[in-house]
Amino acid sequence: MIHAYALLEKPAVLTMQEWRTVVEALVGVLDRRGPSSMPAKRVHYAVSLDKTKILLEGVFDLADLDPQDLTRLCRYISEALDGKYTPEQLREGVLGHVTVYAGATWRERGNAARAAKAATPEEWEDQP
Amino acid sequence: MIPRSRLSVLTAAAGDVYAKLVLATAPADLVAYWPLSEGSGSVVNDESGHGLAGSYSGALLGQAGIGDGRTCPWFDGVNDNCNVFSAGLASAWDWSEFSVAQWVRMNAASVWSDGANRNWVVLSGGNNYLWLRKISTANMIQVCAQYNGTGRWIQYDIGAGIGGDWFHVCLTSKAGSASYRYVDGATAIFWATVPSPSSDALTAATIASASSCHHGWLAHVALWGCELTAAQVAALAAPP
Repeated sequence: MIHAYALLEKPAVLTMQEWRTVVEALVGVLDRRGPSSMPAKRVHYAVSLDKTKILLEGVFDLADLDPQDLTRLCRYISEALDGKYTPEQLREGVLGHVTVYAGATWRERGNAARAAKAATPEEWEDQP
Repeated sequence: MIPRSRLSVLTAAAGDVYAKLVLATAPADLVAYWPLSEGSGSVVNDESGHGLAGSYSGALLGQAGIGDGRTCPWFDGVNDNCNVFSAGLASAWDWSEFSVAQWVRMNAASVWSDGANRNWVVLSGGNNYLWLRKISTANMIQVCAQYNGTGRWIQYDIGAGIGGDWFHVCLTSKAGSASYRYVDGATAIFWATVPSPSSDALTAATIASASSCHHGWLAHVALWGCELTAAQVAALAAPP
């Protein structure tokens, strides 16, 4: 388990409604992995302005979010959508849509996440 | 003679001195007061006595505060925030006359030039809103307000002088009168004559925000249903 940041992008195969369902289910699954009394360690997230990207933070089992081995993630997505797509069908669509920010410490991983977000402010920053 | 209200401040435990000062400032008009000094858990306690609690999403609790003996949360600049909206707050809130005050500290002086917007307080509902924040332009504090669709955005180039220190920020507003912004008790007119707000209810209230998240510490956020005086704001801005 590691306190980390991860970016998930909506696979083209999913509709926005399906994506919303997947995100809600995934947050529930991930948050149950490492329940904590500290808000920083509970799963929380920022959503991009167009709702297609979600920047997650929490204490994760990185096998759940492995950008290469998508076995678990695709299974969670499949289950969230009541088997509409099999994990095998999802794998190609999800590949390349998961980024886990690297760093030796939580602060370093946070720096990587902040830098990525700062590089695309038009995708994230809300205006009145 | 020391007024009774000040006596209670002077005799309070160290961690309560500043909180008691807030509670003693226009107490009849205090709408909500979130010291943000919880050490754990997800609840943002309202110490005004009005029960307008909120919830943390992210934020590292229990960090060194403003020097009053209380702790405060650290926001990571990625996705941490506090949602303090409630039906009770919406019912109590009146855009016609209010004050918002809080303490802010950047994670480092370099945050002032990190190119990102970083929100401290966001209140909104229909055609009325208020944002207090640091914007993407280096060293700029920005106050954004709109009442019944008429908006005003003003930037103040003062971040360089603040650096990584704690500072106190406050906005007072009254429809038909002037609105003032204060930084460390020093004032400037934000709006010479504030227009009347629409009747739209408050629908959102956040401290920091997930999308344009503050990077650093926040403490002692308070809302009043009156225009605080310059003397009251100066007292709130005095380092504890």
